[in-house]
Parts: sequence; structure tokens; C-alpha cells
Amino acid sequence: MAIINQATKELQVKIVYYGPGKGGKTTNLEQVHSNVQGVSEKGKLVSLATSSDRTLFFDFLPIEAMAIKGFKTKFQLYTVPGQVIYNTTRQLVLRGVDGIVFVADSQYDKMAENVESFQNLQDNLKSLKINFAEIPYVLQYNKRDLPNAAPVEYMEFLLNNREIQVPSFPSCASRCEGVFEALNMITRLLLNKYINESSRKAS
Amino acid sequence: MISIPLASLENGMKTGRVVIAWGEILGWLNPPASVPSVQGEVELELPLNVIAPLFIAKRRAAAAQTKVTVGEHIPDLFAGVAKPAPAPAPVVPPPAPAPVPARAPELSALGRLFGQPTKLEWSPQEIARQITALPGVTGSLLATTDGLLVAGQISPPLTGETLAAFAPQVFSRISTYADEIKLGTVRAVTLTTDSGPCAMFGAGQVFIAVVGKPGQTLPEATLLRVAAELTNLKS
Repeated sequence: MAIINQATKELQVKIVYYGPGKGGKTTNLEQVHSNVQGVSEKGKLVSLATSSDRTLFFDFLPIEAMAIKGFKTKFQLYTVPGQVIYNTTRQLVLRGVDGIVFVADSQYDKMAENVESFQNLQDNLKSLKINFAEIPYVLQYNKRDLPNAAPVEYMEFLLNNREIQVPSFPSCASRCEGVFEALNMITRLLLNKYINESSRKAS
Repeated sequence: MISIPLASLENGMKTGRVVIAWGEILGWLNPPASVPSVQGEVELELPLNVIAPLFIAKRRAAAAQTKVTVGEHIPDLFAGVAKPAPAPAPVVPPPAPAPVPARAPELSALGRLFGQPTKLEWSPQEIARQITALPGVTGSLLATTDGLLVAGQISPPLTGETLAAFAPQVFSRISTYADEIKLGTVRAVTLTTDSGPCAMFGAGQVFIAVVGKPGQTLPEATLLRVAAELTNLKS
């Protein structure tokens, strides 16, 4: 849950990058860390990866930016380990999540893993008593540059076929394409949510 | 010729894996197979790269979806903040190399504390490992400010996740009390327990928690310096 400090005019939100193993979650954070500009403060990217580049626990990147109404917004970006066996870790990282970027792997042979991971996300949120319908999230279809990438229409059918269609972005995280588009949209969705909630409370 | 009923594919397409019994596939042949196959129950996975484009092309339009919208008054915080690709540097002839004065290797303050002064890059695991190797220390970990374990090793019956979860809470509460008492900024919290000492240090974006042997003291001065160096780390 976002922490709003009216005294210091700070809004702190937690964004988790979720998705199947080797899908590009860590690459997203590395690109944000390397390329983000115009923020007032950027923390160190804490990454706990094995020699084969598999995230063991999570990556963590704090960044600050001025938002609206004078609120300084602190974003904490996390990834989860994608491998199936690390579900307890994923649940732990999801605690207190405000928004999610689901990073799907566009390769045909990864479709079943995408679906499994997306279902796992919903199951884990449920176990944390978080209503999936109330959590802002965006979809990122990564690795669009690979020759065996499935059509975006099929990925939409697979992952974005609900009554409410969320924003989705084709991406090639290794080239920083689609990375900031997804991050920008999830932050806008979060700000939109908190502004609406504050207006409701005020009235 | 084979005609695959869309309805038979729908469930598999939703899971990203289309598996159908050979007997069922035989039933879709046109003209139909004259003799039933003894292998009819064998399951075959259909190639998604062939099936998916056909399925999407033939599928009837999905029910109308409502798209998530964001008010226009919500600003873009990260749009266009990526660095533009660097322009190609103009080709200039390289200047004649100037004599380079001998330079002392850059030293790392953290490295000096751990006896490896020329090592500049330290991963969280390496830091935790070095702390655990200090005299009197049996285990240590690094945790984020919201209590998630970053790296470290703690021996049973303690668990790293639990200690990581509580260390920032303990530190924060003690800091509040110390502030009320006007003791000043808390640098470390040390608990002396039956199972040994346990100390917690705030270090910027992370917390360090250290446990030691029963009846022994922790190398607090060194640990405070490690915490100070971690606090100063910024990228």
C-alpha cells in the first residue's frame, strides 16, 4: 500500500516487475537505472543475480521524481525471481505492492510459462488478500526482436482478454525499447488512482 | 485436408499449449480416416507458431472490452527521459600520447575495512560474507528498509527472513524512543541475549543485522564503519 506523508508531501509507491524466468525483468530495471533522467534522486540498483543471470531474490531500485500537487514521489522498483521454485520469495516481494509491470516473453515456446506466471501472480495476490482487480498493472510483451515472437494479437488474447483491457507495450528491453513506456504508464495509473482516492475521501 | 474446429483449440490456446489426442485429430480429417488408429489416445502437441496465427485470424471478435484510461491531467514522469543515442563522434586524428605519470591505484574504503583495499566493487553477498568473517560474528545479513532480505547467512534457529523483517522495525522504534529522550541519532542497536549478541545498523538504503557468539562482544567499531561506508554508496 502506498505510503502518503502529508507532512513531508511525499508519496512512496512500490512497483513490482513480475513474469516468467528469463523474461527480461532484471533487464528492465537495469535499463531504467542506466537511462533514467530528470529524477531528483536515483538509488543504487541492488541486484542479487547468480552467475547465469538468474535473479535469486529480487532487484531493487529506488528513484524519486516530482509528481503533481507538490508531492515528491518515491518509487521503489522490485523484480521477483521468475523460476517456479521461488514462490515464497515472490509472495514476500509482493507484500505491499502498489502496481505491477507484467513482463511476458514473446517467444512461442514461452507462452505456457507466461500463462502460468500470470496465474501465479493472481494466486499470490489472493493469498496476500489483495484484490487483483484493484491493483493497477500493465503488460509488457518483451523480446519482440526475436524471430520466434508470437503476434501481439495472440499475446493480447492470452493475457489481456478480460473485461477490462489494461495498457500493453511491445518491448525489447535489451535495447531499452518499451521500457520507459511501460514504467511511465504504470506510474500514471498509480497517480491516477491515488488522486481519485484522495478526491473521494475529501468529498 | 484437415479442418480443426475452433472450439477444440480454444482451451489450449488460452494456456499457450495445444495438446490434442491423435484419435481426435483423425476425426477432423477430410475425407475421414477409414480405420480407427490403435494409437488414438496418444497426445500430440500442435505447433503454436502454425496454429496461433490461424486461430487469431479465424476467431470471432471478442466481446467488447473496456480500456483502462488515465486522466490527461496526470503527468508523464518517465516519458522521454531515456538518454538519446549518442551522436557519432567526429573522427579526429589521435593526439600524440602524453607521458602518463605513475598513479597510485584507487583504493576502496570498504575494501580497506575488509583487507582488500584495491577491490572497488562489492556485491551484497560479498559484504555479508566479509562481515560474517569478522571476529566474534557468526552470521550477518543486509536487509532493505521495508524488511526484505538482500543477502546474508544466519544459522538456525534464527532465520534470515525473520531477522531481516524485524531489524528495520526494531531500529526504527528504538530511534523514535532515543529521539524522545533526546539521545541523538541512533547508529546501532545491540541486544544482548542468551543466545548471543545481535546488533542492527542503519546504512542508508539498507540495514545490517549481525549476530555473534554467546558471551562475546561484536566488533562494533568496525561494523559502524562498514555501515557508514554503505551509507555513502550512491550510484
